[in-house]
Amino acid sequence: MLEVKNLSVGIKTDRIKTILYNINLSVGPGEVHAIMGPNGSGKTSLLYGIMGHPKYIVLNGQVLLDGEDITALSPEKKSLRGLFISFQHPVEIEGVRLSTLLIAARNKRMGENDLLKISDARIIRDMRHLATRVGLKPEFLRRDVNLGFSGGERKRSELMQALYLKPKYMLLDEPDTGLDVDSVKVIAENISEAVNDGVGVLLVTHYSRILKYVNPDKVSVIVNGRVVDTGGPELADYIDREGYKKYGVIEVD
Amino acid sequence: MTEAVKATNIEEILRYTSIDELYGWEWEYSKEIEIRGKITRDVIEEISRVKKEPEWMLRLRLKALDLFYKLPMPRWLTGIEEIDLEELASYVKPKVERTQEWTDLPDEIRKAYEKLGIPEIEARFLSGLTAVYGSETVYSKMKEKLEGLGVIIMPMEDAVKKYPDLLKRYFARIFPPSDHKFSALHVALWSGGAFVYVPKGVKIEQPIEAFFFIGGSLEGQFEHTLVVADEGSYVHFIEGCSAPLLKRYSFHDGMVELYAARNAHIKFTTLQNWSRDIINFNNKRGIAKEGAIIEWTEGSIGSKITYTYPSTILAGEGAKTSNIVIGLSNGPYLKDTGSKAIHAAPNTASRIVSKSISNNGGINIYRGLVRINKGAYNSIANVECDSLILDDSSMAYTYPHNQIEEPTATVSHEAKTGRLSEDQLFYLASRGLSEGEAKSLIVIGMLKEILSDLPLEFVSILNRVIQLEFSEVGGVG
Amino acid sequence: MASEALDLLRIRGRESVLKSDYQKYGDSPTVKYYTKWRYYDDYLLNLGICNSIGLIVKSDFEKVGIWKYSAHEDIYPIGKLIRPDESKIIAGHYASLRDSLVVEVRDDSEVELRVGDGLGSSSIHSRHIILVVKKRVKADIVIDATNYENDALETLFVEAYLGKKSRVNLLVLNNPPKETPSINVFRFAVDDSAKLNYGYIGYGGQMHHQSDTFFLNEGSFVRAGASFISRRGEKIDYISNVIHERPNGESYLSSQGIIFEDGYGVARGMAKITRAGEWSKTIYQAGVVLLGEGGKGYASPMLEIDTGNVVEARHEAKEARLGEEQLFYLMTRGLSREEAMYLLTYGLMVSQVDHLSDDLQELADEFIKKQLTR
Repeated sequence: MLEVKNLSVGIKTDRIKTILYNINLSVGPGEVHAIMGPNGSGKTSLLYGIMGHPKYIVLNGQVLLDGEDITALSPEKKSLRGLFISFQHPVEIEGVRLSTLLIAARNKRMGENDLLKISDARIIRDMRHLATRVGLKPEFLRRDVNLGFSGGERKRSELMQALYLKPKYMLLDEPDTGLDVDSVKVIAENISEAVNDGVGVLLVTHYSRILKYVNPDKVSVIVNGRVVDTGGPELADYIDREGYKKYGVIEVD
Repeated sequence: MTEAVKATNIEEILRYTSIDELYGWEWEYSKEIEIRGKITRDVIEEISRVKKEPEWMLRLRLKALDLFYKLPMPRWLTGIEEIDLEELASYVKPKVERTQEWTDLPDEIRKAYEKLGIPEIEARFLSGLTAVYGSETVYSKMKEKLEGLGVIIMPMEDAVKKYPDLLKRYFARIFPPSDHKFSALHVALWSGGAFVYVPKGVKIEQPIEAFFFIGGSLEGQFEHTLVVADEGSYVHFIEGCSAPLLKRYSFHDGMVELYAARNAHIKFTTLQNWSRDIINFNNKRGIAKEGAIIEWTEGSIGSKITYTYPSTILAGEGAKTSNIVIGLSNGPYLKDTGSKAIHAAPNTASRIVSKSISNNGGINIYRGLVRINKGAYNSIANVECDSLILDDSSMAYTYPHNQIEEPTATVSHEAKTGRLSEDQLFYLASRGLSEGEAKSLIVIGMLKEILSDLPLEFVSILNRVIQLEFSEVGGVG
Repeated sequence: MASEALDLLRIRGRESVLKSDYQKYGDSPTVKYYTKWRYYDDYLLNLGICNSIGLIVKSDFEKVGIWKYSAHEDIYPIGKLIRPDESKIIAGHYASLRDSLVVEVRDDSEVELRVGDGLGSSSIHSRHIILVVKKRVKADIVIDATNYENDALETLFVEAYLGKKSRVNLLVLNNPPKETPSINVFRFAVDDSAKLNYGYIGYGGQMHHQSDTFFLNEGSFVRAGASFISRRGEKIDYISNVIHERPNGESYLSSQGIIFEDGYGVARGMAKITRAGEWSKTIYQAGVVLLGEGGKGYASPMLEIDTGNVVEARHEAKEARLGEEQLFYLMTRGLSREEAMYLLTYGLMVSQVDHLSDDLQELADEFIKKQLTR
């Protein structure tokens, strides 16, 4: 179980500005918990706060993984404990190939001392297979991480990393924005499959489109840094119809 | 006698857990001759006598000695004042006969090379190998199949005696002793190194390597490499170097001269991984004739201070050069690197790429020169410098010079200095990598261009070295 | 008129002329000195003192204070931004200096500083300006150094202090002497959050050395554009440097040299971010183009970055927009080679000062046109 208890998060600029207030939510193995909310409501900040982005300061509250307090652990440690974040706008990392990153991250998890060691030809095969599965040409493995990737390619690359590293919990930030319907289905199928294998998913999404293909067990709505509503899949349907009007926000596209 | 070499050497190297373990502390070895003190005419004559050299070489050495005393100390170099030449041994002959069999070498010498898997790499990937220990070549061997092709790979001392005409044409002619104080010093004291001649049209597939080892403190090493590639030939020469951790510093002042005749192609790769106690001065220059190609790639990873500026004179129409220089300064060390391309003929092309990484108080300096002489019509030069500074206390300096005297030339130059952003580090951390590991991945990524044409074993050793450089335990302090 | 500070400065200058070198290090492995210092030698042998200050000022004197340094020597320092012992030639300037002009811009205004004559028989004509722009003041300043007499080594030094949050546009028009050597050394201390737009339009001389240096404080901003032309027999070594000494500064430096026939021109300099200048941004461009045979054009844009905490730091030797291809293109459209050259040169020069105020751009434009059609 991944639990967020009374979490308040501030962002560091010239001072610390609070952006999330007393958030409570949880997701268990094999569950999907959708986090919805209008733009700027604090959805991404919540994932950053959980994962420990250096600009996001936990002001109070806790993040518990299977009952253990991991709030203060470094992002690296959280990753090794089984959290995976996929970014909405991932950075480009010139000089590091996607395959190199995946091999290094995997070796780290296996306790292999040499980060770059390819102990088994299957490693590369698996990677190519996964890439194809998420709709990414295997050539992308040889390219530098996100460098010159299109929006869609980034989404696929992020998901592919998630699948490859086999985390316990995935924190997915808008994994489908900018994709066409067919691509959304591919992404959703892969997420659902992971969920069936027992992965817990915190799925951040502004629109409910992806929730038609990935069934959420729970839905929470965040507005202005606060959880204002919680429910089941019917809540997503409601937002699909009515938007965030009920919570005092009208968005014009 | 490769059977004598344990097949597991490279595996062992990959298991080292700290950079110190990789280098090891200096150990005793027996010396036959050691010359220290002020570098005088007597010292030069003594070295020449020990080597039983012809008269012309002694005269060349003495002329260079005169120049050494006349030329000024290069004041623009940082850190050069740390070298006290009188304290250094100018010649160290280990007590060993030169051989073609590793098993002939005493354990104390052989272990320097085995520790880095050199015999294994030789057996599997190289056309020839020259191993220098201190001032002398202790091992030199060329694979048999090359002999029938007329290829020459031999210790420089032998070549001086056997091929005086060839040597008189090229030795210290491509890089004259008069250039600066340290090239003069080198020519006066040179000892050890390899001579390579590739006949017309011969293309050597597997690389040739020279490996230089400095065994003790306060030693000077002045080896000389000369590669002459005749018309239409091809050769890839790899230069490696290492030293154990020393109680005091040692000084390396080597020279490499390349001559690429019409349409010849020379690739020269240096993997410099001296221990932190070596001050490393290099003199590297090549001449490329009509249609010839010279490629320098240099990875400077180790050493306390390194000065290296591989340079090419494009002397024939259509000649090309590519100079890739990569420097890593992790800790209070200095890499003063760069490159020169002199366009002295029409339609010549040069590409200089410099990449540097400074971390933990390290300094990288790039000094570059592109010169387009009048009459070098339509020549093209391209310079790129990328410096990464990984923390707030490290530095990167870039000093390029573009000198254009030909209006039809095209010269472009770009440089940028950047850092790893917080977001990039967070991204890599979110994948489970520590800051040190993230940095080592970035560095390995930067080295890609050098590594692409090297045997995989080299690459894995180098990758390991970089990871150890950035590892949090037992790393560089 | 007697000034202890000036006396001292002249003495230190005289000593340093003998003791110092023109520069400490050679400039490059193949061109030892980009400035050909041998042209200056003879003028340093017998140093006299100038007869006058050699400068003319036009402005609104309600808003701008003007005095000789010796009249109130305790208000602003002299020789602080440019020290007499820095080099042989700087020492020579101080050794010959009669007096400095102090220009204090107290309120928003326009100032014109023009090189005048009357310096007499000294072998060095030393002109010196201490320029102060008070905080929050907006000023448009022109330094017109286009009228020289050709019988002495001409020097023009400017020590400028731009106050906090000041907004300064400064244009330098320079046509150095053709039969004698010359040197201009301009240094600008740009205080917190001050903004300087600087432009330099110049020509080669017998041997002209121009050195512009900007010191940036916290949050200060400098955009400097320079273009110069070196024609038959002319030589110019143009140097611009920027040093970020405090955090959060921004600097954009661009220099472009155009070399005709056997002219000689260098565009070089250094952008430095010190450790105390972290989170600054600097972009540096330097380029030269050769038009015709026999010219020499050198570019050397240097970077010294002392910390990884930078917003951005890069430089480039600018790709020439003016070359045979471009000339050919214009000629196929019906222009003569000369017309095409004129058009391209003019465009290139004007683009280096397009960040200045409209008034100053107009002045630059006039000057460029006058010189090009000469």
